[in-house]
Amino acid sequence: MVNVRPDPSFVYRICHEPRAVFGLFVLCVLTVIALTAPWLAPHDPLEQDLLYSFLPPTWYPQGEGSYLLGTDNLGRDIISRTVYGTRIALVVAVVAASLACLLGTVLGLLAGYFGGKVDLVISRVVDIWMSFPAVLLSIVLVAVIGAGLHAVIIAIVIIDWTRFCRVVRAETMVQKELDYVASGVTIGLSRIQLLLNEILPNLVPLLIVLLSMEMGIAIVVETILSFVGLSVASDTPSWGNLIQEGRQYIHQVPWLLGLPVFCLIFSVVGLNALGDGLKQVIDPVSRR
Amino acid sequence: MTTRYLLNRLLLALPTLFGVVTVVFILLRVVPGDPIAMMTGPGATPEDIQHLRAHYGLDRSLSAQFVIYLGQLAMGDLGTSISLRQDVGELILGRLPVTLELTVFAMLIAIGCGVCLAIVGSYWRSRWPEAIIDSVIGIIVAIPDFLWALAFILILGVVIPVMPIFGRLDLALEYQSYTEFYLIESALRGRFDVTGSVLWHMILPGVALALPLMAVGARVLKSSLNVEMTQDYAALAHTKGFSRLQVILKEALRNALIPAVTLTGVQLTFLIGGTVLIERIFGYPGLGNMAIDAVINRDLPLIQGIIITFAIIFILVNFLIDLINTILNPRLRDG
Amino acid sequence: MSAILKISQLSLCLRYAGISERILRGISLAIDSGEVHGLVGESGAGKSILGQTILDILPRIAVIESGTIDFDGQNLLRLAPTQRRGLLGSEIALIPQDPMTALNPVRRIGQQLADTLVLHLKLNRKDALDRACELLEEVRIKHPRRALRQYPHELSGGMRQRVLIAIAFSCKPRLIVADESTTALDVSVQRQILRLIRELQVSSGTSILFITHDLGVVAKICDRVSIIHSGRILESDAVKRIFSMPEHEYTRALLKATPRYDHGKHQFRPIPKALISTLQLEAKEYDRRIRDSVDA
Repeated sequence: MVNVRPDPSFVYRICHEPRAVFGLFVLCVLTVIALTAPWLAPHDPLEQDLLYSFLPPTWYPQGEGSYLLGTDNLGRDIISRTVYGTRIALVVAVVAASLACLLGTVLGLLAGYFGGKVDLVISRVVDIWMSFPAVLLSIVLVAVIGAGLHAVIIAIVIIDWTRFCRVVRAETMVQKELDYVASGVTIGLSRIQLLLNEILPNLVPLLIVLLSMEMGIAIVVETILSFVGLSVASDTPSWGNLIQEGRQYIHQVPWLLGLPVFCLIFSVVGLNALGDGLKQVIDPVSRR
Repeated sequence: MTTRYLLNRLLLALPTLFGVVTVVFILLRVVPGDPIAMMTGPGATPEDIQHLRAHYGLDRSLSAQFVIYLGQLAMGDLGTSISLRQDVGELILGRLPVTLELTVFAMLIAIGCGVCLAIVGSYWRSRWPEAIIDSVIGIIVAIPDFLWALAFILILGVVIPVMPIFGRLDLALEYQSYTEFYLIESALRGRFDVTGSVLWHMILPGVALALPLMAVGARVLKSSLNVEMTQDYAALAHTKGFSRLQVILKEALRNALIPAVTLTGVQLTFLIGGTVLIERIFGYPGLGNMAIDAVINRDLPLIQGIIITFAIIFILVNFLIDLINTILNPRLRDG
Repeated sequence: MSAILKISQLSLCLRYAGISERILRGISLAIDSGEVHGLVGESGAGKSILGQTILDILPRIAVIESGTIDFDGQNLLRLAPTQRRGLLGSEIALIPQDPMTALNPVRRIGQQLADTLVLHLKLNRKDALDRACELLEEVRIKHPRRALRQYPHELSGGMRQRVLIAIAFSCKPRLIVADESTTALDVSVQRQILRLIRELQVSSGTSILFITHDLGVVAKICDRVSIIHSGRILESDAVKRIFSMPEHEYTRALLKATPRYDHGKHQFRPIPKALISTLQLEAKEYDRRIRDSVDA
């Protein structure tokens, strides 16, 4: 007595997958905070006021009304700096993840579609690449490229394209054997047309899953590099810099560490959940 | 037979090592920015800089530098650190024991807890303990070790300040070490106050390092234990009168470890790579902490030395995994 | 002679994801002490599940609905897990089907033989290994000392099956369940193994429940035989009687479907489909009766 129901729409299924909903919520919150930072932040994140350094949160006796969670060693508002830090995190997440996705997808398509020597070379590089600890590799890469946000983005792309490449390669190999591709060959589509028009669209759902997970990873890597002083300049409000300062003045202003760490965990768990949830929606069979 | 196989594996690592050395050398020569200029500051005259360049051999051609570098490496000479003005080999040997002790400690935690979790989960398969273990593993895997470390610092260092969150030893303790292996050395010399303090300081960084390996290892081992428990030999063991726990421990565990060890090998190198950051966060005076300083100061000889050291460690770890697999799996021994 | 094992009205079903399928339907069976009792049926008849029920190695999804298994006067199904484990290996043992997978690939033969000796006979390791060596001699393994130190992959299939037989007989159990124990072997090895099992059985007085689909094997080794189909015992009798004058129609069909070489002409005929569906109908009828009696 199975009713033949129309396939529920994609949006409907996402709305009924709690992890995906939570992930989308996190992504929206981050985006809104990043876009509205100038209005959201009560203070200029760079404004120093040494008279007000190390202020505790506002509900403590020594707290100051306008500095909700207190100030850092230079009297800068912790909330404002964290809010502005969201911008850097999100920029890196979007740019680095997209570029890594682009590079990985192109190489993965090539390896999966053409096979043979192309595949051998690309797969071998991926294997070697993935056997190195990412943290170590990124630090070495930034040492080579030089510190700065662009270096961080390049480093993330160079390291993490393999995640996309491996999956895209495997999936392309599967797709290549399917009927519709074979029929494409018989009606005389060129290889490039086939790759772009027939195979790539079928990889899009998978890529979205990987992309959302990669965004979480990129945010963590940027924070790490900024924490060790290899990303943006040290006075720029990024989560990593806040964490680095917070670690230094941990006993004076625990909030300086607490707030960005909370934001990071919130973003990473959210983006991970988004990826997991989307995977579930796209492919309900693969439960892990 | 076996020894020859293992020796072969070890010899095969030499080209890998040479590759690493070459790549690192080339990479670090294309670095923009002049380390000598950074080191001397604005007050130096061109003659001073020229003199220093010659001193560090940076005035010759790249290929000449490479040949000289290889020659020095072969003799165990890693050059002189630009920022610390000390022999790189000595610097590394001074820090290596610190990192080794921390790494081994973290590995023991990860393997011990991971195996226990897997056994408990497999013993109570499809009941609530397995469900709890699965969700705990899921949470641990979702959050990277960097964030665990910071969360530990906040919770156990600030909110409930019970654990030390900085350094390797209580500053109040005076201890003159000969080998830098504080933990082992102090225990052997009977300075148990030092041993205790070193262990106490190791717990948070060690656990933070151990968590990812523990979680991944437990997940892999549990699923392969569950597979092994459905094998014929496990059923036979049950009809011998073994309890479920005895079947897991005596029969299934060793078989399940074989795929688990192979699959978690990469995770083990990630743990070692993780020391770089964890040492930084906990102000732990190890190799990783020095590596970050070297990168910030663009100290090429030191960076090279540290990378080569890590490469050697990774090669040895992979060799160790091969060795463990040969010990675990008798079918490999004659192969 | 008294029965060492008495199964009565045993019913069992597999339940998975809300679906329930009955595998055993009111099985009753008695095995006298010192006899080799054949249990013959096609695959899916429920014969292996019956062996697994006795040995307490049922899959998780199996649920025993009713019935008793009396071993030496006590109901196995009512025993506490520790008591039941105490019987396994010492009083009740298994000779498994596939010698290639039934031995643990990473443990030495000696260790695997010593398990039951240490566990039930409380021997120390050295005595256990000495005893294991004797056991290997009894199953005619050449160079038993060396075999003790070998791993399963270093032995042939026939040798491994001998090791498994040695394990089963190691504590002189009173009942052995042999589950298709010779099916995976080639014919000449099969004959030797059957002879070996029979010899050991005679000298130790152990009863054996010999599960097989092969009437030829039954003819060689069994004293009595039960025919099972769709989880029901159709007929139980002495081997000679079953072969000379089978009562149940299915038994006759089964005999005709077995290639026999002792007669000049080879009269091979497959089991008629109509008979199979009649038997399946009867099984369904049984299920309906059970359901009705539960509902009533």
